[in-house]
Amino acid sequence: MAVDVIMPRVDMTMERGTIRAWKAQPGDAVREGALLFEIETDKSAMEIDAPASGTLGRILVPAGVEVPVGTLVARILAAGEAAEAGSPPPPIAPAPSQAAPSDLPPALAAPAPRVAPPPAGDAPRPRATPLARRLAREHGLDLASLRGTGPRGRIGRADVEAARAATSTAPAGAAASAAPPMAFHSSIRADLGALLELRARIAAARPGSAPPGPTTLLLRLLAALLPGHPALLGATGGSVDVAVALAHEEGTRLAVLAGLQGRRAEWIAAELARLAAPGAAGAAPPPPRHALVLANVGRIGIEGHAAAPRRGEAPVLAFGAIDRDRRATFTLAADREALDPAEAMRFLSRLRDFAAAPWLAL
Amino acid sequence: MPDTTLPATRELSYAEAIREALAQAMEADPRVFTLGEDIGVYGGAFGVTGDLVHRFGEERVIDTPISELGIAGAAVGAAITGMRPVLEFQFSDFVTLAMEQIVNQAAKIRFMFGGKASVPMVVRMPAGSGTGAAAQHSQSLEAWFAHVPGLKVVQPSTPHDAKGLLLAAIDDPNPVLIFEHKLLYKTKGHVPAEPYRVPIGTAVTRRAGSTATVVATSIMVHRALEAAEALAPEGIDAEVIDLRSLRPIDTAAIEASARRTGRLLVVHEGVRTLGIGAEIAAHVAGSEAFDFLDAPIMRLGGRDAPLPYNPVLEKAAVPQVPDIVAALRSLAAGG
Repeated sequence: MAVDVIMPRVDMTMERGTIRAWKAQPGDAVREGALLFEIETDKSAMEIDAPASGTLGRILVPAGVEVPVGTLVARILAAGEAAEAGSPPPPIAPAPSQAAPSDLPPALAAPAPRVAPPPAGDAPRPRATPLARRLAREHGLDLASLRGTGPRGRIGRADVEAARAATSTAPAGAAASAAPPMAFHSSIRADLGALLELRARIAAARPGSAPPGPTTLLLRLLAALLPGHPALLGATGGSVDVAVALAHEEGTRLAVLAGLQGRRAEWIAAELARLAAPGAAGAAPPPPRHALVLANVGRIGIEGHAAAPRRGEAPVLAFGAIDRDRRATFTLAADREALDPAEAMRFLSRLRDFAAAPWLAL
Repeated sequence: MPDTTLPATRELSYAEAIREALAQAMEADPRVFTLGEDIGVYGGAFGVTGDLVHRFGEERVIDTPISELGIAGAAVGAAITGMRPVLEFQFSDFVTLAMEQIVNQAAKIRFMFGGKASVPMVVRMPAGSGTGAAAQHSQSLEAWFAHVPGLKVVQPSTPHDAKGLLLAAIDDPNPVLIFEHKLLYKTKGHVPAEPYRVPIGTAVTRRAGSTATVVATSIMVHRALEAAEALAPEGIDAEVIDLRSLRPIDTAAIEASARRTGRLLVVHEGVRTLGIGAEIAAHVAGSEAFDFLDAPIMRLGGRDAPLPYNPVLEKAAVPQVPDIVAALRSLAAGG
């Protein structure tokens, strides 16, 4: 592991320093604590020792060049390490007000760009709310193509939703930018009052233990419902294997609950907890095939989400936020090659009936 | 004690609820005492302490000279040596005289002594405008103190919270400042008879709604609720959060609501410039809730002027119900 050598701060007021002389050359063996280079500040001169033992790599700041405190001036390489090993050192910017000396090495020649410059000559960034930006990003919509109806033409959530509604009813060609050509989605509103009532009764019957969450209850319904939809189980050979999309800081990962048919809610809840635990991802690779991906997007307040599964990927069932009337939107998105839209609609319709009357799952 | 013969929950005024909390704390703990100007036989400038001097004696309900710095210094000293003082400033404006003891001593002593000493004192202060008391007796200075690490600052808006927050403040091992609104002293509400605590640092949702979130403090909670009811027929369904505590601040409650509604209005009586609304707006803009905002965050607060004596101007200087209604309409239309 290479060790960075930086321009040190040798007194409280020091802002910049100049290397007066290097006492070792690239390729020389250096020893921790031995003199490596001399510096000059506006007040004093100092000898600086090597911070580690090894081989001196490329010298990034030659003698005679003034640089700010903290600037990487060289690297000390460990045994067996090549000069180019590791990530290349970041380019060093001389203070912008000072003209760079003409003999600067290439690493010093260009200031490090901290912020990407605005694209010259481009149209101004569309005026849009943070929520509208996020929704447009999630649905693959280009903000520049949307019309804002808010103050000063600002694009809000309503404008993004209007554009989405327009693209999903437009002829196939018009929606081409939003989703792969063969993907479709269907939505249904379901009354979850009875399901939530059931949950409350479970909670009352077992004080002290957490009642099953909405994801668990929905998986329990799917365990009863999916065997009646063999078209959805083709990929798993009839087994009710459902992947749950688990949100993580790094993104989303899928956890597969295999063999759901006949499972009780307690088993599902325990399995979910096990799979969601940190570190569970690496423990065992999930079975590659699953009938359905369940995404509880309502957990973060999303009302509906039309996923865009690629060719060969399983259909995605998005479970939207439960509103104050205890209703939620389910959106099934699938590749038309994998699932007949009519079958998707039959499935959603039965899901709604099961959710409204969960005893049917018995 | 007559309280025990009353039903479990009665209607009490805000002032009566505070008096009941003081009485229950003094009954339960001999270390608790209260001190301030005219709080004994006179019963307090706003009648909060009432008959407490007759029930607990002059040793525990102490009338002091007119000397805010002295009162605060006595309370800090008593607290360090194991007592539980509750001091009252006649008007919160007079706290300016006691800044050294509160900001430099009470807030810092625990840290200066490495935790070996603490200052379990409570400062009660009548605050706010609306009584025609002019610029030197009408201010809302709570944000000053919320800016000081080491202090806790609360603003009860109901009789229930006035009692529960005061009891929680007396329990607290560190200094707590309570800003009571003068216009609320006579308002009534249900108050349980037994002692209870409202946890410091927790906001409460007073009205659930889906169009916009209003975070309000003190009397502004009532004005926000009135505005929300006035707007409901227009389809503007505001959620009203009573902040209750300025430090520590319940950012989780604010973020969760802002994520749900996508629109945020903060309303307080203290001067808007550099006020608590700025802190809340900046916090939300920098939080994960940012991605859920569908309009710019709005703030309503006191004007950049000393509170006028003229009653018309006095009202115009701080947010009133029509101001909140107008702000919510604008917010619902995109801000």
